[in-house]
Amino acid sequence: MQQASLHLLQAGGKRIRPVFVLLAAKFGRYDIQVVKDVAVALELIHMASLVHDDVIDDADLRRGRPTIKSKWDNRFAMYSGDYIFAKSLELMTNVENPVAHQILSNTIVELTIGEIEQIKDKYRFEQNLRDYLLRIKRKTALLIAASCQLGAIAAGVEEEVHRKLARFGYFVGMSFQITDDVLDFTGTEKELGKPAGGDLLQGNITLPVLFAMKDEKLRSEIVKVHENIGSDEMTHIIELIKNSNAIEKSLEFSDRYLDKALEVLDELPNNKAKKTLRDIALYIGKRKS
Amino acid sequence: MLNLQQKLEYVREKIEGKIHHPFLTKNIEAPIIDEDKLFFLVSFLDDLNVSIEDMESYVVPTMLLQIALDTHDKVTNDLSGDSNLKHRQLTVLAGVYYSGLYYKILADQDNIEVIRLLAEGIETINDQKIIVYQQELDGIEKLIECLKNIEASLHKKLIKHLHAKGWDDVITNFLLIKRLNKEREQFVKSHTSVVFEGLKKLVFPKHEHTLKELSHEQRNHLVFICDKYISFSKELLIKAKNKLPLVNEAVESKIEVVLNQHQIGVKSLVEEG
Repeated sequence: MQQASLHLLQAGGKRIRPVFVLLAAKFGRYDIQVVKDVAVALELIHMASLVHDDVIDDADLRRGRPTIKSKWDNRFAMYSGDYIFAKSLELMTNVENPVAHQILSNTIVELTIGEIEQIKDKYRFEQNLRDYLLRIKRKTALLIAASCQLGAIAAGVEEEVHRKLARFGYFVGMSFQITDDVLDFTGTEKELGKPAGGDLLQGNITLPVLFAMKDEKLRSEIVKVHENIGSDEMTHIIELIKNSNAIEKSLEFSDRYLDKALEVLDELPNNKAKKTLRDIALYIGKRKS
Repeated sequence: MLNLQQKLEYVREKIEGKIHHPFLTKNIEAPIIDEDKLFFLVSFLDDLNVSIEDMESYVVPTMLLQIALDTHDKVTNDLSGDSNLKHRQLTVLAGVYYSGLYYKILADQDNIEVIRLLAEGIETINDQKIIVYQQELDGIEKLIECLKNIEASLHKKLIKHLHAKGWDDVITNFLLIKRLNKEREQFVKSHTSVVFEGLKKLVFPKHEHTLKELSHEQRNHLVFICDKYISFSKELLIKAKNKLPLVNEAVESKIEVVLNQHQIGVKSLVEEG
């Protein structure tokens, strides 16, 4: 278990969830002894979901490094993921505010429903923008929103402010996931740590695909994608999507969420953390990996 | 006032209501509720005269966690065909979903203390599962201790929390016997078992072969050791049961079943031999 934990820690990651927890706590009585448990718990929840996701996706690499399931095996990954998840909840119980637990538990259930919906929606080309937005809300945005809100709650921040921080996190999370979905097309294999276009190949209909399908000609090509499609045909379809205006339109969509995040941020009390949150939000909009 | 059987039915219905998810139901097999684990949870809470509402608030999240663990135990390493991939994906997610529900139910009840207790139980269970699976064992006693923790940690946590005197040894030994019987049966039938893999490594440390490659004598020797531990646990179970101030008929007969179960196993092994 120790080996697996070390392997996961060394695999790196952006650690944006704990960063949001710590920054949100700066809006209240910042006590690192209290807030650190929330920060660690949120990162562990994310880590556990990645360990499970690698079994789901049958992925051998994450960020260019072997996954737990490939270094050991699926069974080991399941036990490790469950252990890490339990550890995160144990840490969270150091926060004795029931509202914090209601928010987090609801987020975890919604996150899983989002993943189940993702499987349900695979290769379902008739889905609409609403389906996509609801899915990424559950899959990504809610946990980032919870990170911001729980950091604030753990620091005793008043309700009006912690709700705004949650909204900020939600908008940033939406923008973050849309950017991620764009990068899956535009990023190089080296930047992504996996081949480009992997989402569509797996049947995940993301925003660039939805925009590209507005063009009837492109749509007729995209709907040909299936699990066993040849790599040449897939590369051709990815190129078509990249050369359409779908990427640009998706990035504009992401920017709109980012603008909303910045608007909410403006309503928050001024402090150093607010400036850092703005910088992180802007970085998220421009990141390349 | 509800009797034990009615209480069991009541909480089972509540659990079934919680685990129902249309897409999961349609695509993967329904999760199995471990009837013995459910029975003993309800029995010791009934013994403590816990109200049906409180019983529900302890039993439903605990059993959801047990179901989550059992669901994740179904995730295998081999994969053949794409339909299996979807099945495996949903099995992973179903387990995560059920454990998320445990947290949500207790969070909605503001029961942070029980969230912590059960989370600690899950940590222990998975830690011990890894030790057994990776065969990081330094003796048979350690293997048995791991199995006890894997099978009974959730119950033990609640028993300690609620000061249910006497029940720990009854439940732990009952579940250990059941597990050893199950592993023994699987080993005799198919020469596969994670527990017998561990036993083999401890008993024949220089033996590089698989369980299937062991000689008939070697296999019988492993079964003999397993039987010794089953017999010993039975003695402990009888002692523990006798220490309980009052044992109702249902608990008595449940224990009787497991005490007699193994004798059939011995007979069938002798016949096979």
